[in-house]
Amino acid sequence: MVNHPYLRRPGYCFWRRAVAEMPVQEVDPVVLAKFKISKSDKVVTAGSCFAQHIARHLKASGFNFYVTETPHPFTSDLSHQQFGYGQFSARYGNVYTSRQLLQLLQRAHGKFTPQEDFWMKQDGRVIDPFRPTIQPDGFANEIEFDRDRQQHFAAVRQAIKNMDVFIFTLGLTETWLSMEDGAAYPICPGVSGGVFDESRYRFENLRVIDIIADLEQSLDLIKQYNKTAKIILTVSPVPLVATMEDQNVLTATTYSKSVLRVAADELAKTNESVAYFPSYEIIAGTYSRGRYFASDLRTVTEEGVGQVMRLFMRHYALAPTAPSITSSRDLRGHETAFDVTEAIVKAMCDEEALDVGTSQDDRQIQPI
Amino acid sequence: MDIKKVGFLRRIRDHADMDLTIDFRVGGNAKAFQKKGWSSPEVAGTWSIGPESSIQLPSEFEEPHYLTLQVAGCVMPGQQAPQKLDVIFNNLAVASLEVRALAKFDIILPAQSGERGSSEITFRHPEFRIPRDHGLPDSRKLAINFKKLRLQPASTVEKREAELRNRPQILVVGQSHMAAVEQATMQRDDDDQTAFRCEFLSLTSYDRWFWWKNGFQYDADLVSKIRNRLLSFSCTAVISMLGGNAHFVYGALNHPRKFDFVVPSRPDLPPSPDAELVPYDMICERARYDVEALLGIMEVACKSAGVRLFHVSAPPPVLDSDTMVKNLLLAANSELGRKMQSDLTQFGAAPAEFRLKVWLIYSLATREVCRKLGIAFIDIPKAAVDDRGYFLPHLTSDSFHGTEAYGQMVLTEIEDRLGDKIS
Repeated sequence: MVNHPYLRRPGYCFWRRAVAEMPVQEVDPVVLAKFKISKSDKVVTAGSCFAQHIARHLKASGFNFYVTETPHPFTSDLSHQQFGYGQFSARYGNVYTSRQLLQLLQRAHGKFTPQEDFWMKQDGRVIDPFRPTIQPDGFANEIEFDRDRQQHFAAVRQAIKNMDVFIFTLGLTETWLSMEDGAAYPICPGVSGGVFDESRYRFENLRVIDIIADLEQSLDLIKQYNKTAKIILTVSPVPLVATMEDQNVLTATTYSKSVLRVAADELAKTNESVAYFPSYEIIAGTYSRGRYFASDLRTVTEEGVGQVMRLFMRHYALAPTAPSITSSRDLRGHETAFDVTEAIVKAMCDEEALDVGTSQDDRQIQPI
Repeated sequence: MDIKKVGFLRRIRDHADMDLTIDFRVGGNAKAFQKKGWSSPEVAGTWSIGPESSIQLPSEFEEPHYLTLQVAGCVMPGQQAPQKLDVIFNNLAVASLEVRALAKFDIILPAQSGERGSSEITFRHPEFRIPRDHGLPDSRKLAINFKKLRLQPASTVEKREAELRNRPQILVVGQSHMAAVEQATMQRDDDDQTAFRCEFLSLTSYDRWFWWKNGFQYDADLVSKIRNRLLSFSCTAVISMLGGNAHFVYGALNHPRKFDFVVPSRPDLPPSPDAELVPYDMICERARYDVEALLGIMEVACKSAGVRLFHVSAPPPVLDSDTMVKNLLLAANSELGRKMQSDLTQFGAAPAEFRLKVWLIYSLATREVCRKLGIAFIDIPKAAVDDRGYFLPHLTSDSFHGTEAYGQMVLTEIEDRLGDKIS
């Protein structure tokens, strides 16, 4: 009679029973939620573009998606999304890296002031280097930029102070930093504003220890202003648009997602108030045979997002929730889920700009 | 007795065929003819008081005459229905009119026997209205506001109308800001100075207000209404004087969620430090949305009728906030007015700088939309504003709308722009 510890492990610990022999939609990698979210809990979101889906579904499911920077009612509804309202709890745009998150919190609380304040365009309009696409054509002038940033930071502080739950989706490890003071940009300078200058900016591919350190500092800062906030970390399943590493984008993506996944797990294991939610596994796991990616093998379909959020609600919602968004027909009459997802993701992902303007030849696989 | 007045009366008596203009506005000559039932002259005209008023004409006339009346009704909250106005000429009822907004009426007066030596016109207006009943500081029994009265021999009028029929015709379409040009046109008609034959189409009653959030919306059949009017009038050009309400409403009061914005071209108008900053581009987009809704209708109607469209800018705000607020309090004659008064009490009047900025944004949006839709834009006359861009106070009687003098300036601009295009 064989006897070993695996015999007493539950079914979810076994690939065949938990994954291979399960219908795709019944695969559920979440075992136990560390805490529950009630409908009155203020939920703040930030992260890469995938995190925008979380915000959208939270709202649709009746959760209290806490937004502290709302558009003025005088403005046209049609312009709100273009101007970065409602994507996240405040108008910080996509926060792809742990470094960006840390510096956003520091800047909002007056603990870090980057030397590079803004980028001035030739027509006098102003770009915020730390949210370069938050307005379609930048800010009208320096006064508007400065006043808007003050309001924005106040909204960030308010969100941090009052939130009950913070959901942060880690997107990238590759980042561009200022050589002067280490300020982290969401997108390489020169792509969506500014002028690339190799004497001023440097590329860095963050390592596990960097990300853990950034997240721990972020957590400490949050706890200074909000001792009871709970944090949920997720990793975006969306592959890199482009890599600066001298390697194939596929291996660069694997590195990036692996590092983020390890860092998130490390934080969750060492902090009672931090949980990890497996968005990455739900979308990118081999069990789905790629069904949650659109034809570009990168864009997450509405069905995939719906599956992530269905499992999120199942495990984290304190009470039953309203149906989440599952059909493309809910969204402005687009024909297909792909169209819908593509429209949403492309509208808001700064990093998409990295692959604009490169020639077809550049996109060819380089010979080894 | 005033010597000048005696001379005037004598001159009239000498002529059996009368060509007489009585101006009821401040500085006018109406007092010499008024008998009973009149208030003192004001900038916009003289109110008839109570149920009846009358004037004495210095002679009779041997041939029929046209009596042209320029009058406006008294509109009060809840009392916006047309008022009855009966005209009696020497005990003979000659017209029974309904008056609401500014209007011009032509009435035929029959020839007289010559036995009376003078003539009397009596106006019966039983539906007078008392502002005090509506909480306003005015206890007069206001009936009809008389602006101008003209008497001319019928043969002269008919001859001139025949001439007018050969002049280019234009249709002016607008809301309340159109009144200044309408008055100016009437004056030019009187003086035979009209370069064009104008017809006015007021769309005021088509406004549907959706406070702050949704801007304007118009009846779905408006395009066909305007188009049909264009075709029936066979005009050479259309002048749009639509707009003005948006910048007026949005600029006059503090929003419940007080906001401000930069205008890059006007660094002298910085955003208020105690207001929420809204991105300039979003404000512009909102303004474009409002303006396009207005002008889009006109553009479609004119295009389908094959008529050239011009648009005249609405006047900018005045600098003086106190007077603006006083006038606003007097203007509680509509749902919009009452809503504005309610918000004024709750949120206060916006500063002049904010009013001007809202106007600048709407003016810019109007230019852009005109360019996009192929509409010729006619700016406000430069002489109508001060060096900062505020509307000169003497050109407005209520802090919002232009006077006849302003209308004359606008009319000149219109004539300059249209002159070479439709002659």
